[in-house]
Order: sequence, then C-alpha cells, then structure tokens
Amino acid sequence: MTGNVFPRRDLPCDKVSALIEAPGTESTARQEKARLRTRPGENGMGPKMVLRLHSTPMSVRAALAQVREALQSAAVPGSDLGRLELVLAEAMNNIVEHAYLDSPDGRIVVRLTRDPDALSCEIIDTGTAMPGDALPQGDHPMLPSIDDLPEGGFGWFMIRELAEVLRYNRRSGRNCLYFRLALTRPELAENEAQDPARPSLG
Amino acid sequence: MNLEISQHDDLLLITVAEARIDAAVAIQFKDRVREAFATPSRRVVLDLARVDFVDSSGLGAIVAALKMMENGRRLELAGLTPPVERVLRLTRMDRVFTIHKDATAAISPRDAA
Repeated sequence: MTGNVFPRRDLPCDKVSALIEAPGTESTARQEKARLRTRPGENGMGPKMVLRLHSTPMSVRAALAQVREALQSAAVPGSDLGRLELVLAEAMNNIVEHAYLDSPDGRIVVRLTRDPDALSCEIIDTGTAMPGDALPQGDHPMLPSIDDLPEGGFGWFMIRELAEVLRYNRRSGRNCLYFRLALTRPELAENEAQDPARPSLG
Repeated sequence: MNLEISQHDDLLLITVAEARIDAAVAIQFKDRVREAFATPSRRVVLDLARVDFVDSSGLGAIVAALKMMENGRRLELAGLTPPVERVLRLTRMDRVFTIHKDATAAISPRDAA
C-alpha cells in the first residue's frame, strides 16, 4: 500500500531538512543527553516537541526519558505512554543499529506532535536507506522449538502492531519515518480501571 | 546491569535490579545471566518486578537466556510489570515461558508448574 493518506501539503516528512541540518548542533555533538526543545502549552507539553540526539543506545534512552517526562506532565495515560515509548525505542534502535551501523556519530531528530486524540511522530536520520527504500514487512518470527526461537526480529513486528499509521520515505539522503498512535480517551481509561463493564459517557 | 541472586531450596531466583532491559544493556544482561546460571538448581526464575521497560533487544536477551538452559532446566519468569507483559503478549512470547505473578508465587510449592 503506497496510497497517499495525507493531502500533499501536509505530507509528513516533507520539511525535515532544516531540522537535521540546523546549525549549532555540532557544539553538543558529544553530549549523551538528548536536547529537548519544547514550547509549553496548557498541558505542559506544547503542540510540538523536537529532540536531537546522537546515534547511541544511551542517547536513545535519554531521549525516551525526556519524552516520557514531558508526556507524563501533559497527563497522557500510562498505557499510551508505554506504547509510544516502545515504538519510539524500536524505531530509534533500528536507526542506531542499521542506518548508522552502530557508529555513534550519526544524528537523529525526533519531532513529536500531540493532537487532542493522537500522538504523531517523525524520526529523521541521514544514515543508510532501508533495504529497497521500503519499510520492512515485520512479519512475526515463527515460534518453533525453543532451540530455534528468534532472539531478534521483533522490532518491526511491534512497530507495525502498535502504530496506527506508518510511513517511510527516503529523500535527498535522509530517512524519515512517520507514525501515529491514537490516544486513549481519558474517560475510557478511567472506566477501564474502575469497572470495565460500565458504559462510557462519551 | 545488576542482578540479585538467591537460592530457595532447588530454585535459583535471579532478580533484575534494573528498570530497563534495552538495547543499551542487552549484551551485558546476557553475560550476567550466563554467569548466574552456573549455580546448579532444578528451577530458575527470573524476577522482572523492578523492570518497567523491555524493548526487542531486551526481549531477545531474555529469549537468549531461555536458550542457555541446559540439563532439563527451564527458565521461568515472575513479576511482569504491565509494559513488560505487553511486550511478551504482543510477541506471543508469553506462550513460551512459565509466568508467575511474583517471586513469592514462584517459590511457593503450591504454585509449582
């Protein structure tokens, strides 16, 4: 499926060049801590949050911690946070490992947008393209006997299971992955916790 | 990567004293677990009650630990937090492991699988 679900002018991953090529990021090149720029909104998190990090597993950790902190103070439900953290982690780990081949010098930019009912995210890197310039299938590795159990290959499977919309494009030497996760409506989350049988008020 | 190891009769309890098993520590986790497995026991339980995040690398390391088992020993899991439980369920790995509510339940003879 390559059909375009976005109007052309709103296509995610279109305006990413300025983000990753922004001047002034070199000075912090060796910092493990991802840089976070937020524009505070009414709920603690503004409509957009941009993180720039280097391609190391520890930078990925730091970035995830900052996303978690920002969204927690914006009262995003824990289960939504958990899903976002997992998809973000898998996508960024994949960039560290496969796009930058475990070199710590690559740069990753994460742009997170919170809408009333969804979180959407663009992740940009300048590493190697996905094979065939396309998203991996992410089939579930089979579960045969214990000796043959897979020790990897779950990343794309989980991303595809959790993300509502998933797109990838390669343009001018940049990879951009876009995904969207629907947020649980707060009244539903509350009802679930108290009494799953109670009908929602929404 | 800190693991706390204790023995309860024929059960070896390995408690992961870390909040995350992720890509940053997956290799370390495998190494530490391999060392811990050297202690002989009939059962081995990995207590994950303090772990609140596992990614696919961490899951791969836990599966690798399962595959290290020899002499009829089987790796069991205990104390899955909701985020960890989600990853196991999503990947259907919850069908591969015996899973106990918590370490106490795993140690209790009545809970023996």
